[in-house]
Amino acid sequence: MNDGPLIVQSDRTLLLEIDHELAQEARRSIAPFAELERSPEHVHTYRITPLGLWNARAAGLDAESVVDTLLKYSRYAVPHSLLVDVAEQMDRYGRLKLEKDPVHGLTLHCADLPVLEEVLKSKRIQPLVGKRLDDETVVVHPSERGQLKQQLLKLGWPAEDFAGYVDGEAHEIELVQNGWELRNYQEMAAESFWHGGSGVVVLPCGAGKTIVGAAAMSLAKATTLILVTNTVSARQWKSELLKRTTLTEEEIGEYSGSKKEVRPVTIATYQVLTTKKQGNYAHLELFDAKDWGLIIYDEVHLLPAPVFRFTADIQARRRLGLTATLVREDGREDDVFSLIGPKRFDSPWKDMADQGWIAPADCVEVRVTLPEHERLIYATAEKEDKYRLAAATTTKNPVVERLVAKHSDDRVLVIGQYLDQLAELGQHLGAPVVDGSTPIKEREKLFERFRNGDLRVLVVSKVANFSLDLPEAGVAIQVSGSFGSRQEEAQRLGRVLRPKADKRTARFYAVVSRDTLDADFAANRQRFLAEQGYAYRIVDADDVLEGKDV
Amino acid sequence: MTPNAIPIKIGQMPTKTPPKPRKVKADDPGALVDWFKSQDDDRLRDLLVHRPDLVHPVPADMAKLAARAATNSSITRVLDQLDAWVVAVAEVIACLDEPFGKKELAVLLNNDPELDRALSVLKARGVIWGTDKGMRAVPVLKEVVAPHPAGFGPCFIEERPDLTAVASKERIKQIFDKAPKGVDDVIDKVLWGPPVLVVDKLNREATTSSAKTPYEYLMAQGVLIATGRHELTLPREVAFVLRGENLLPEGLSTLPEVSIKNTRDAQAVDKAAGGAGLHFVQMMEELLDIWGETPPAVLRNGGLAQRDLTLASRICDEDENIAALLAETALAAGLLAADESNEPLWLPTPAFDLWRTRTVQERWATLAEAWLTSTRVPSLVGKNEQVRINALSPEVDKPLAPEIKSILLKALVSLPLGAEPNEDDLVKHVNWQRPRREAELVELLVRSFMQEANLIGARGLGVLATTGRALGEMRYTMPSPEARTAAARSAVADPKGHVIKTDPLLVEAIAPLLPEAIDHFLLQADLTAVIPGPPESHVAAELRLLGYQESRGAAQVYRFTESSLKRALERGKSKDDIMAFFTKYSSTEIPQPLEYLLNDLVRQLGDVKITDDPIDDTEPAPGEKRSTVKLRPRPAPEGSPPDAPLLISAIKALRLSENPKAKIPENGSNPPEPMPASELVSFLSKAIDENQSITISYAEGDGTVKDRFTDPIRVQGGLLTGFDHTETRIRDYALSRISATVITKAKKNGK
Repeated sequence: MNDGPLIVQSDRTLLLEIDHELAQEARRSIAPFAELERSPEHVHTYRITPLGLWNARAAGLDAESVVDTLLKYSRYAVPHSLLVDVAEQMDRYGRLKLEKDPVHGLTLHCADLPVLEEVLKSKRIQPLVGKRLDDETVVVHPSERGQLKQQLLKLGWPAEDFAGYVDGEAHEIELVQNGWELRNYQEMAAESFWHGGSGVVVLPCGAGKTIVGAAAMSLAKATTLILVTNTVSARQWKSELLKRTTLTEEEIGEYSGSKKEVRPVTIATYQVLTTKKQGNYAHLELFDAKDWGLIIYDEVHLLPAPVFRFTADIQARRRLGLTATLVREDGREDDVFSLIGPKRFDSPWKDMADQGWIAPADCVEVRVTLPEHERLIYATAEKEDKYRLAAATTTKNPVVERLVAKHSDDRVLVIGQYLDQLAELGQHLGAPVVDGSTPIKEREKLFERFRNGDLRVLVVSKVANFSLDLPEAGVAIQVSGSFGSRQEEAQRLGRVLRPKADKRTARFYAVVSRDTLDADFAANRQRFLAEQGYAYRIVDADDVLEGKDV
Repeated sequence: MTPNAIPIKIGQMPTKTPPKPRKVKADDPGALVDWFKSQDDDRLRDLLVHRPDLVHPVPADMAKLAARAATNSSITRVLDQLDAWVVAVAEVIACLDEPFGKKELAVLLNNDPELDRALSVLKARGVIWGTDKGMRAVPVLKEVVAPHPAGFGPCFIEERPDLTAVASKERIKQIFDKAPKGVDDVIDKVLWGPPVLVVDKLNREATTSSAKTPYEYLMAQGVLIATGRHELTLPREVAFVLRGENLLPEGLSTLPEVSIKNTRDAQAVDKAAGGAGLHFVQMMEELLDIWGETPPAVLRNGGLAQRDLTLASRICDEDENIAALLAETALAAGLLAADESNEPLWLPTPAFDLWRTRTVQERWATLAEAWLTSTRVPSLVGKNEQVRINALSPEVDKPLAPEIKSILLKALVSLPLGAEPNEDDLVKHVNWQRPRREAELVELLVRSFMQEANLIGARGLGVLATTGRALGEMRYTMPSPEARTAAARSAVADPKGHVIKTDPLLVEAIAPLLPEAIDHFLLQADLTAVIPGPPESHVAAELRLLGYQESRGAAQVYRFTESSLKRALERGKSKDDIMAFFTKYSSTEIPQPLEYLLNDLVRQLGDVKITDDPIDDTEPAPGEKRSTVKLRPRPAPEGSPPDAPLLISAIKALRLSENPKAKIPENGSNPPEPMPASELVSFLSKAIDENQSITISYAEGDGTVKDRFTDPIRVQGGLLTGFDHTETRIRDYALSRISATVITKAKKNGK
């Protein structure tokens, strides 16, 4: 019997025993076609999905090598049906090809007649294609390129897009590597995107996705439209680009709620693009405002649905997606695949951590017990008030104070959801509070003070902490905040758990009320964090208050 | 009749004069009954083993045996079990006048060396009898092989005297010399049967000169005879001439060979089969587990709704064919049954609870044997005949299935190790073995079973594995009488009365193929436990109680949640039990959050241990339902020979009936002693096992109590079956009427 590190399960998951001596090697081999689902301390789970297999095909891997990898590292017999399925799924990618015909323009080509007949029979495909040229070819209207790819994927016959791209308006962009260097994985990521034409680069939080974007721009040397999640993020992109490239202040425009600049490099927020005026998307013309040579989508996994629709129309432009995870809460991974492109680069999380690009983190859940009278109120409260009552209890305040005091030589973020709770905590701690009502300018000022060490403690609301880059925060204390989507949580934690200059371990505290909804949400968080491989402990508030080492 | 018809080339007509069909000069072998009487015990036994219908019930004497052996239904059953060559020979015999000699037959078949085998098979089964110099066939044979024995049409010589002229080599040659194009093709179609052609446009008045088609030309020449408005028939007289030296197609006497597509490493094959077998067992457990909690309804026709099959396929994460195979195998193994309520449900049986406590290899053996002997054909599920066929419905039943499975496995066993056979050849092979069965059905069965064998772990990588060989050697459809006797005795019910059959041969076959069972697991901070390989059953059972299974396959992953641990606590586990279990079997530290979760729960629920009794693994968990149906042991497959004691007694009875003066064994001096009802069965079983004769005091229907000297054969369903020496016949005695018993005299060991 083979003694490999991998167990191939019949439900298409792969279990990787990470203490095995071949684990690293096996991980590298399966990463191109299997998605990492969770990575707790001993056994990591990967999943084989059709999309993952097509991604692998797009990256040049064939079924045989996937099967070989599975057989090579598998400890037990690999289920026969799974092997067959791998081959069949991978064989489906690329049977249909979108090509550019000198006479007819865009065409859909397929050497396999039954497949072509099958897809052309579909009611959803029929309106997207034009005249049948011969047995193997049918004309496609150029504006339906994205739609068609989307529908074909839904039918299980993803098309390979050979129709090429427009170059866009040329614009000189170079990287300026003074005082920093492009890390080799960043270079590889940008290169594999460029050779693939369009696609998604998957990198963990803190691995420098902005720099990958900049590197891609320096390869495209063309006008670029960058789509980001919000204004703070837009500003961060801008300052990074100024720092890392030859671009100047005048060349970079911001297109957001407050400013509407269109320049050779324009950074726009998803928000402004999806703003509707009288039922219409008011800022769609941005896509046609210039002859863009490259479009960058930051945080692809958060891409709002309308943006997908716009993206379908611009399939002739190069598209780069950046994300930490391809998993989308709404299950639209296939739209990412068909509209932005297949995964072009993915670096295993553990490799990055080993190289010190990602911070190790220590997660501690501190449990407080509600006093008798609050428990009574909680017990009789309406359902919708319960969480608030449990999460915003003042019992948490002394614990937070104690924790802040404990980390007196580190910078601390206190994160919460309820404004009055935050205000109260701010007062207790003598720290400024940043929430949705804080003006952008004021926010940036506070963040800057926090970054340079002038400010040691900052209290932030959920709205404000989203997508903020505070690499020097060594400690985060979450006092309230329901558990939303998995990505949101990852994002938030990822932000504060950036690698530290001195490589020290980041701390994440969650203060929760025992036996309440608060604790139930904490259980979800605990699972999520444990699945990400973070160490997770539970301690008693009394131990914290007594000053025990936790 | 013949799938592989060999076209005869008209240009090469036979050189010698074809034999006339009605020319006989052979010894008369006498009547069938005399033939039976003259056979020794071994030959009789052979006959009865192959024709079990002859001993059910045991005939009173040889005359009755012979009469039953010559009935249409019995002979049909015999022929259905024979291969293409033997059937073809039988069909040729049916065209001959009787008695006939072997020599005469050999000439007609071009001295085919396989003729001897065919004759001896037919003789052993009592279809024909006599010596080489003169034989007869049972008269009903002609009826059974009608309408076209050996592919021949009827004789037309009476109605069409002109046929005498046509049916000669010279005349035929003349006719074909002048024939228009396409005549050869027409003859090819009818020569080896069926001899009837349906033609769209047929001018029955056509003459040689006005014939427009080859059909009309041949008709005008008298080679074909119009037997209907659009129907032409090749008369037997002409076919005899056309077929030439051999009345049967060349090559029919040899078993079609199975070519080899690929050869694979036997070890890799076994590994794959072991993996598939393990997977199959796991899927079965998973599916029935879930059906125990949320059972699907029984449709009015007795089947499983399509919706439920789809759900089942999702549970197993496989396609619907596999779900159907699982459901059908569960049914066949007695692990699943419909209950008897007003709105019946498909539910696991109590035997399922017993089954799941066994080792993987034992569990597999139960499933594999059930599959082998099952008459269910899951691949029919989803097919449309008049209506869509549902899983678990009566339409899925094909009595032919086990027989074909057995033949198929035998064919696969005969291939070299690691050889991947060509499936088309296998279809031909099996069709040759059972030519009288519907060829389409046989093909469907062969192809389905090949797939099923892959899934169940009898084959790996498309090649028969060690497990499949073991199954092939069992040949359950035709086990020897001794094997059946042994099997019946080994299937002993557990104390609760549920039967789980695990054949040691199968257990041994799969055991080394399965990955080694693992008795530890890894506990992780995300509250999962991973057993990194096939688990020891008690560890898995415990984890199943404590958590929810998340992933299956070679390894298993369980997730602990508040509700899963709560369930365990409610079923009487204490926190200490659980912690002790984790400490004992976890190879990693117990994650702190897990301990916290458990503490929280105990704080909420209170750590009350409900009972000190050990939890009975064979009891379903609360909330799980079980079928109330009492399952009877499965009957032996149709066509199985009677078990050994019955056979011996039957022959003995037949012999005694021939010779009524045979010495009746004297009763011993001991009169029967009163026997309490509670001890009766064990006394009788012992007597059967030890081959003892007994005397019983038996109350007859008229109320008289008589001593009966008898050889007990079996005890079943409240009846003792035995050979009654006084009546010289096999009869049943009601156990309730037996008041006293005694061992009378040790019998000689019967043959």
